[in-house]
Amino acid sequence: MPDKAALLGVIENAATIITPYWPLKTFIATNPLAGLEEKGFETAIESGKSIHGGNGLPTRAMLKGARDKGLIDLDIVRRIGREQNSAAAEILTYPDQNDHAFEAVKSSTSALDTQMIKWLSAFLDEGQAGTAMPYREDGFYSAFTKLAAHDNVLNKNSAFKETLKNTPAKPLAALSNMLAAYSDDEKQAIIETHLTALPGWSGYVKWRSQQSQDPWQAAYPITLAAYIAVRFLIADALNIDISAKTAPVSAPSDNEAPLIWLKAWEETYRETLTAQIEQNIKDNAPQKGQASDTPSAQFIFCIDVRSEVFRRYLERTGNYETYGFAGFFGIPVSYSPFGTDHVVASCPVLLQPRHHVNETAHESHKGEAKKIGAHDKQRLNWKSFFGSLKNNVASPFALVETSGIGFGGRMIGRTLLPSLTSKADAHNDNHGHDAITPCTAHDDAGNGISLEDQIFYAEAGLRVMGLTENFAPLVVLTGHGGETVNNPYASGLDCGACGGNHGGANAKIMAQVYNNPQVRKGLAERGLNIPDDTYFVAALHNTTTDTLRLFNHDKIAAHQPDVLASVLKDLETTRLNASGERAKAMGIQTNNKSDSGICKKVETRAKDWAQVRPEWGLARNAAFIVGNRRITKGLDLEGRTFLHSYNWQDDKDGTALEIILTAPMVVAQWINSQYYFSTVDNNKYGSGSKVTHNVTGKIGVMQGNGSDLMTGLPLQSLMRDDNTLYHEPLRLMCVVHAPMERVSMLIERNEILQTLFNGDWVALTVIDPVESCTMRYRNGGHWDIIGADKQALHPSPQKAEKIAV
Amino acid sequence: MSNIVFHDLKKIEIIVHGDKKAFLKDLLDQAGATGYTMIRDVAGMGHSGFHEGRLLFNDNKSLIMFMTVAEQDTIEKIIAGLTPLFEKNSGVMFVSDTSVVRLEKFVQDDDYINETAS
Repeated sequence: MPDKAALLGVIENAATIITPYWPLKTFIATNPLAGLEEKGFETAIESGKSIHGGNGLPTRAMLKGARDKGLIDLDIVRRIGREQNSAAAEILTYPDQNDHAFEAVKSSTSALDTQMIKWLSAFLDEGQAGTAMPYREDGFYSAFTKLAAHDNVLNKNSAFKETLKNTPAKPLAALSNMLAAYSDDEKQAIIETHLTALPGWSGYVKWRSQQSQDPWQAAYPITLAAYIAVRFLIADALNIDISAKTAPVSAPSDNEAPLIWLKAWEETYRETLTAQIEQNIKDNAPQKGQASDTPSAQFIFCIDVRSEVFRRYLERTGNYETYGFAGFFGIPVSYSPFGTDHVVASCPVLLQPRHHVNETAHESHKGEAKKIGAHDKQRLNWKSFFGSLKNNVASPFALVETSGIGFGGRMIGRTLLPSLTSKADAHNDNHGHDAITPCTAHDDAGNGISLEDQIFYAEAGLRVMGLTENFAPLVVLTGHGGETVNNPYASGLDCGACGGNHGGANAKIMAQVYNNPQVRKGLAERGLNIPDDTYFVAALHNTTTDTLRLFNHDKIAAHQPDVLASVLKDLETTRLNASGERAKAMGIQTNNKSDSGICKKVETRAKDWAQVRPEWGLARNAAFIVGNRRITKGLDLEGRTFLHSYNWQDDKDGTALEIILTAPMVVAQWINSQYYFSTVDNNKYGSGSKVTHNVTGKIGVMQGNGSDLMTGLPLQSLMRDDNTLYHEPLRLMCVVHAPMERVSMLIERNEILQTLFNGDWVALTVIDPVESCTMRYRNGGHWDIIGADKQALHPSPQKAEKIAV
Repeated sequence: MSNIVFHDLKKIEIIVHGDKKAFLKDLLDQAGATGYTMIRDVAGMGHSGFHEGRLLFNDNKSLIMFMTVAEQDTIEKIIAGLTPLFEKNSGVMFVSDTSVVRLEKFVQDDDYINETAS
């Protein structure tokens, strides 16, 4: 039977073309062309066009809008045009020809797709359907073969019942028969065509088939082989030839002009940013012999672009240092929220959780915790009871008769007075309760984290972000999360580094680790001395309302009584300022000129169940900056930059930089690509308007009653109105403050970096503190000094070796 | 000591990127391997240069080694599944003769590709 095994390999190869799609509960940003990344950007967008029919470049209308706002420097357009020997006049007038920027999303029209969607949405439902599909426990293929004879679309074909009877019991065996006449390459091409017909659904099946631990996958398994085998059986019933090419094919496009304009748009932003940082480095250079002042508190934020705004205002209020680090704080962990056995994987999707932590009641708050637990249980029971009444065939009429008035009142309240009603409804985020604490200690059941591992993660975190000395009396680990109601994309506003969850749980875990005296002792043995009076505390940054909630005030007061009051006051000032900036960005009109009026308006958005845009999320993201905060401190980066702290002097062998570039930067590029492609072609790569979204199976959204799963971002997350972009579709720029030779060495030994930098997915700029110059990486390992003195540099092997030792 | 009987079997060692872990587990399972050993974060030198053992926050791009012992036909199925994979992806496999004492631990009753029904 090696042919079936070979078929598995062929399916795996074919599936590289589709991007896994995470379900809504952990909405993870991905590049819709991730499977084509190795081809490089320009080839990938062409392939994307022929495979998905998607447009990979900004439209003329977008370019025109950006040019008219002054976001594209015309001199740079001319310069790039000259470099590429293009006809200047034609290039310059390109945006002025008419085209339609946005069309309504078309739902899938092929009969085969329609039938697939019907069967997939029934099988993959996670509790939204009132009546579950039978035989799901046998797996997708088996359930289909048992039920399909009753499908009155498929059984119109009189031979179909016979086909079902004769088809092998297992999907691989069935596929093996169906594809027997084709070579391996032909098989792969056919499978690719069928996977890319509905890339959202097949992407979801790809994700789910790899989650053996997922309770839904464990109970109702589905594989890509089953997906394809069912699709081929349906094709047979509908008399569709499986080898017919169904994907859209288009002639190669002339991308010259839009590419030049895209590059000019990017360069306009990048050159300004580079100049700002260079100037800032000069302005903030430490004076010789100047002792560094110990800050009152240090705040460690997620690298998320939304942190930048808060950090900027917080630093202005007092003697605070802020750091940027991936918001899971380096601990690959899953946890069970207090009072539940539900498991939340709270780490980046690039990692598998290696430890499990349970939350428990804090000794001093047992009574309070008991109440929270009882309330949660009551809420969940009531929710499930109400859900079953609502979805049951018989009970909805009686339900409306008996409780309609109450629910009608609540509906009116939620509509007219969202902030008041939602207070009564308050989303129960237990991590906010001081009564709940994680059990980080290793127990006999294997839960918790061993002391050795605690020391390892504690050290890794501090060294990667370059916080190795001059600890403040208070160090705040700030997780983050969004706040929104009635929003299927809620987890998209939460922390990506925590797998699309609020980051408070990880912050609590790591604060406990850093306060553990045995961990401190272990760190001291490794040369990291945290003063005894330094206290770590967890906090949660609400990215929708600009509030930063410090946990466990009583403990802070016990350890650092002097610091607490001033920190709380400064956090309030920061909130007012950050909300003021937000109000401008969101166009929030406020007649009330008082600061609290603005905050109230901002807060209302978070609680309004009709609000399609509670916040802008990561829109306008454009750069990832790796370096000490000194290089960007004081700059207004407009919430567009991911900021990762890094101290090049503490990382001689490049270990920390390798971690930063191969993980946080990769994730930033996924986010950036999702925003980019969702913007340039919202029909194909985004998810269309929220107004016509239809949540299916609790896993994803469709447009209308049957479409592909829409995997990208909705229009409302990207655009101010039907014709005005808010997000600027720019590819990611990565700025690294480190010696160029160290960066070169890391590119040389990491394929992922070669793919991203050589393929023009990410533009790399290095500000070299040793050579005192700024360089741009070019395809193939060449470096151009940016500025007047343009010359190519090549890393000297001797120097690179020295760094590597 | 003379009572010990050695049974001849084959051993396969496979090194791939971490993002192929789910595929490898599935392939070994479906080909009928009764178990396997997995070593995460292996380091070494190959066509694309030296590869560091551990990318702390990225399991997908770290290298991972699978090792399993089975009868020849099971190993052949595994190789059949890996052959198309290695045409498009980097990775290596090594097959060697080996012996075991407790044969029942390494051999499945049914001679079939142990395909899951899903």
